[in-house]
Amino acid sequence: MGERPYNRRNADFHPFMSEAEVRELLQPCTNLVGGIIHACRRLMQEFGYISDEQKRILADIFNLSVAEVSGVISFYHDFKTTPQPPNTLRICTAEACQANRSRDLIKAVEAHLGSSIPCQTVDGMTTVSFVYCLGLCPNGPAIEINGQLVSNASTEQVLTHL
Amino acid sequence: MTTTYVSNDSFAHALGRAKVQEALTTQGIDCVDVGSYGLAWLEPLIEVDATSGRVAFGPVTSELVPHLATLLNAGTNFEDHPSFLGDIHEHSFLKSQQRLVFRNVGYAALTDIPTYSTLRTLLSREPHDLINELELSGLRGRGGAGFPAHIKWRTVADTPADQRYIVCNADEGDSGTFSDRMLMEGDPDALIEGMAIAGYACGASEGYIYLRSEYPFALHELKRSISRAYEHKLLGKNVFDSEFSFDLQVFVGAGAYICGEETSLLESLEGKRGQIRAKPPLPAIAGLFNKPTLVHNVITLASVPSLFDISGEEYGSLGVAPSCGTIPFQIAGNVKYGGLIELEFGHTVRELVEDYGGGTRSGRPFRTVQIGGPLGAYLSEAELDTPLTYEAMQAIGAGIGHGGLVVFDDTVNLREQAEYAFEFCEIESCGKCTPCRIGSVRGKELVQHLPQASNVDSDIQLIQELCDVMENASLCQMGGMTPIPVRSALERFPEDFR
Repeated sequence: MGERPYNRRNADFHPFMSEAEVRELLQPCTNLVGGIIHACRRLMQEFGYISDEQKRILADIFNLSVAEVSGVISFYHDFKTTPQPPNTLRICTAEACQANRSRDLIKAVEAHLGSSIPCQTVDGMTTVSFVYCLGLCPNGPAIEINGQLVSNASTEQVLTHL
Repeated sequence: MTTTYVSNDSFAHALGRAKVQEALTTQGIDCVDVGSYGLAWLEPLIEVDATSGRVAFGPVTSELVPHLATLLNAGTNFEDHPSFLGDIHEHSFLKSQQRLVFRNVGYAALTDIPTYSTLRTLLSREPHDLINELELSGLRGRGGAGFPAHIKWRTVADTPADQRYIVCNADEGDSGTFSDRMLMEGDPDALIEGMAIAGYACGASEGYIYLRSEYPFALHELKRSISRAYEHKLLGKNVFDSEFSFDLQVFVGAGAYICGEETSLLESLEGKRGQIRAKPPLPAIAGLFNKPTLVHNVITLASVPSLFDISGEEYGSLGVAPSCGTIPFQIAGNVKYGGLIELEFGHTVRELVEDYGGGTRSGRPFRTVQIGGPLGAYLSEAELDTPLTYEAMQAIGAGIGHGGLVVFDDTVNLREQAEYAFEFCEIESCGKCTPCRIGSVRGKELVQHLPQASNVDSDIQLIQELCDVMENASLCQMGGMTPIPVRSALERFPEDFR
């Protein structure tokens, strides 16, 4: 519960894993319906992103072209193709949170960061992005920090994590 | 020591349940996880067994726990506690509701072993007999479209095939809606049992729950309930030693609003880009892997056990035909008392916003309420007396959608909201058809530019024409319904656009 977006067993964000090990990691996904989505999720959990080399492995395992694999990956917001910072902070942009002043919150956070969301913090440790609805709509604004949900988020509270 | 029930809903987690749990453990109090009653402002909510029945406390913070522990040890004077609520079922927000699909949520412990007694009873009846009873109930899809459920069931059952599927759409992406999440976190067995009943009636032996990735707690509960159901032979081969077998899996999406559209969902489930399919063929005839597939939203499927418990006829007598039965409304946004309200169809929007919601949380005057998610209409004050039925809402150019109501106070700017509607469509469009893919971008630019426009009237005219194109020529409801929030804002709040 409250899982981190991906596993940080290794301090290194993208630990080396041999091709054989990656194939072994993805093996359980091959028997599942929609297996490639499971496989991409598995890679995201392990590495935080999906590399070009891994796309090639996915293509081979699922009998697809690399272009088809890239097509699947690029369609979904959850899948990334570049290394990601270890921490994530997501701010809900949906209407129910807007009704509780999330627009002001977002403006304040962007002013603090000096750039518009989605972006990374200057130290490169946190990705700040939007999420469309966390299902906490009566208690907005809602945010999610490394998988932990927070209701009634204030600007001060968000800034302590940046 | 009395048993202590602690809400394990995301509402509670987002309001500090972990600390409360820790404090309770420190005090030596054992907790039983339950779902949420849906009184969101009272979370984390705790109930304890008292001589008179259960007594509720909320919102409970970790600082309030030692006092609570003292009272629990003494077993008396619960009303002395600052967060004492008494019998939660007597709370005005809950008492007046008609809970069918949410009958167990909040009360039943998540560790209770389910019996699936409705499924057990129904397995002795003929499948087509169940579909006939479903027809009597008048149940319609609760995901937004409101399509009669029995037509889908019958089509799936009657289409010759070697394999049929039951797919639950748990990609609840609409803002202001959380009933699917609450149901899956608070009574996942209602959904699982409903899917198994649908499987039996339609002749399907495999089911999938397509869950959005934003709901990790729901995933946890679903997985727990599914494996428990397998353990007790309530799923799998020869359920209740009958001829009926049913396998169920959860599939986690990867962040795409469009995957809530049924054909896009099926593409995604097959491991592809979630691009929509042109209809026909309907999924009921050629759905997952081109096999007849029953696709329903969580609440539709979870309504099935309670519907058969009270009988289809009884269920059909609730509401205002042809809007039959109950629906869990969700009131959110800028309201004092937000949460889940299950009622039969026919209550007015005003009852929900004012009587349940208690007005705005900010204390400022009410301005508008958006009904049915990001593709729903913004209503004016005068329209609050519209009854909540599919027909009455359609008559004012709105829709119930997934039953979510988002209240805004007078600080809202409807031009900004219209711009957001287009922007949302731009971000979430699957890109397959031009009206949605390009229309959303041009629409956003037009609305964005209005404050600097030299001729506002002609720009608004252009926006209206663009809306016509999107409405009539988009392949699915994403592009087809984006004009609803835009037009409702333009028509009801023209002053915000000038």
